[in-house]
Amino acid sequence: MAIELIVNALLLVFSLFCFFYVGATMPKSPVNELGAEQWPQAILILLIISIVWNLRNYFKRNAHSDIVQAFKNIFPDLIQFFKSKLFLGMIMLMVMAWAYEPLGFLATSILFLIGYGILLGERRPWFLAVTVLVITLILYVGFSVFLGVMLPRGYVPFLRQIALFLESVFQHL
Amino acid sequence: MFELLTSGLAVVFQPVMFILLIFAVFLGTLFGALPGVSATMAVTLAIPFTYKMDAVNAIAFLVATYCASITGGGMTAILFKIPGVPSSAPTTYDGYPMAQRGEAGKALGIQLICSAIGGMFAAFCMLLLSPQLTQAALSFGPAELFAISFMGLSILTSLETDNICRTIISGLLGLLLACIGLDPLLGVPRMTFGTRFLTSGIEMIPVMIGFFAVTEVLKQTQKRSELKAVGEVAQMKTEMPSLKELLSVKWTIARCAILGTVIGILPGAGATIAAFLCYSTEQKLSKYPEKFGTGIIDGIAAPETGNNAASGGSMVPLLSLGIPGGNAAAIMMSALVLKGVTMGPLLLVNQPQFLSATFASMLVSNVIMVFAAIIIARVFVQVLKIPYSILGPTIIMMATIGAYATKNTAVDVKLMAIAGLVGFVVVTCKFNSSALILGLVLGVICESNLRRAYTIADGDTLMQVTLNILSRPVTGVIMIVCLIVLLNPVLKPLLGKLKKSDKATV
Repeated sequence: MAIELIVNALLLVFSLFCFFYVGATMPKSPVNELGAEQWPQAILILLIISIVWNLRNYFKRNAHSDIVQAFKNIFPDLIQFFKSKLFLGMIMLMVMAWAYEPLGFLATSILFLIGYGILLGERRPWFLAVTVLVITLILYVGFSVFLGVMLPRGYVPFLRQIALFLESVFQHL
Repeated sequence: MFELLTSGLAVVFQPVMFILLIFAVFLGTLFGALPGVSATMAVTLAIPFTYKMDAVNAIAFLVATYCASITGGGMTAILFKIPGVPSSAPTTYDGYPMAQRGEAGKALGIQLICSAIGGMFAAFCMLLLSPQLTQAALSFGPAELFAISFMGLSILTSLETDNICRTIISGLLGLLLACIGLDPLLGVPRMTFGTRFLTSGIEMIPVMIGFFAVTEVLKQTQKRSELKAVGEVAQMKTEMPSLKELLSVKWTIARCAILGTVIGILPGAGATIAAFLCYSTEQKLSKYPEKFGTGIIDGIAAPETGNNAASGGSMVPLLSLGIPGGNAAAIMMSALVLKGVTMGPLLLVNQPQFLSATFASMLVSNVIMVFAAIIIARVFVQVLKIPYSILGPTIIMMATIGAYATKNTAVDVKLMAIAGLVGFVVVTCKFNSSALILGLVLGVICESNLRRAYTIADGDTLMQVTLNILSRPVTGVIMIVCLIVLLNPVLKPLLGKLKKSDKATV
């Protein structure tokens, strides 16, 4: 409940900022033409009106005491969120996205599939290990070998060597 | 027309392409059947398979995946009362009660046949209508093209009628995101906040992958839905309907095929709206409306014919005007643009093979789909036994491959991850991610056409130019229709309230 209000308020501030930012950074347009700044500004005006209307609906929908209570609970809720599987999943996703190129496809895929699998409650280590290896290999062979889609080999020398070795194996096959 | 048909069949019956098409149908049916994997997500996840194909083969592959995923969604709707794709939601009303009575095989058979008929009917309509629409569109100027693409945006208010304000905000956010990058006419950086990263604009494919695939896995991570099948479905056998049964729903199939195709053609409206509308229309027209919802074949035939017809219909504006009819079509358009294809009315004039390949792919995949679904139905329960702890991360890895392969850069993977998180916030705050994506895709088309129209039109002031543009007959009429469509869901409840208050005072 509180997050909805915060997101709407942030959107409103951002829209107001963008409205003036676009006007200040774009070249002046002729009086009889639609300039580069006018289209986004028109969208922003509608967006600001809609957000204000949405905020009005929010306050109409929720009782004042409920909103106050939601803000009182915001810190316990945040602590709960940081402890949740969802937050861990989000962290894993971001780490995977940033590690994808440096570590390469093979290492990232294996580590991510194991990590996220455990996060989602997979408790059979052998099943997980075998499945992860099979899936990684299927994805690698399917996309890289059969479909010719480029997958990153990684910058780490050891991991890059493995990727190159696999590539040469499949090339010989 | 015969030439188009033969050239299309020549594309899909190339040995490699035919195998890929069979693969696409299995992939689509499977993805569609898995709860938590929507038809849009199925098309998104199919994109990496198309990177090495030429554009014509790519559209044939994606269309086959899309058509099959819509059908696949009906299987979970019948057996588990959980629609695999949102457009299968009305199928649960009668499909599940039939399954509870032990007629799951029959329900699946009706669902498959009606889906195939709907899909093939839409394919023929697409073949007949697209060239006509293209011819008409060739005489259109930027003002008319703006009006047509605006029509796609005007449908936003109908996407989620309980939540109009948030849906409008989502659409406007999409339009705003489309403004980031180089200005389409002047070529100057706009809303880039001084960063080089934003100069090329928001890359659509990674954002779509993030919104439709990653967000869904995050949602499932937060709260997973458990599946519970009815009766004994471990050895599910599809029973094809008898000729008598098929004839009993012939008018339902005919009406829903037409209605579904028309709804599919409207920019913005898609298979989900078509399925619900077909179901409610058939219920109203039926001689026994009270039986709807108790497990009758009419209740399966209507939504399944409608949603498959809509999937074909949505290809009409995409191919003839370059305007996507829905999210899946928007993804297909992005995939084609990535391959250097210039979308718009000239596409079918210069490269008619796009139409023929799409038509042939729809025709052939709707036939293969019946067999694929029968095979998948036999092993369906085993397929659904794949734990989400394996399926979820695999979806993310496939999405990652798709995002990376867009330009072979890790920036797109990061963009996908960020879009996934933003998508989750959007969903948590009850905004509409489909509207946001529609805004993002149509934003560039709308803006560039509108601004071109302003540059061409006569007038000394902006107001004069606006009036000149609106006085063009086609533009004027379409804009009036847009206003009616846009304001109808907003004004209807207000008018209802006014009437109620009037009655109360009387």
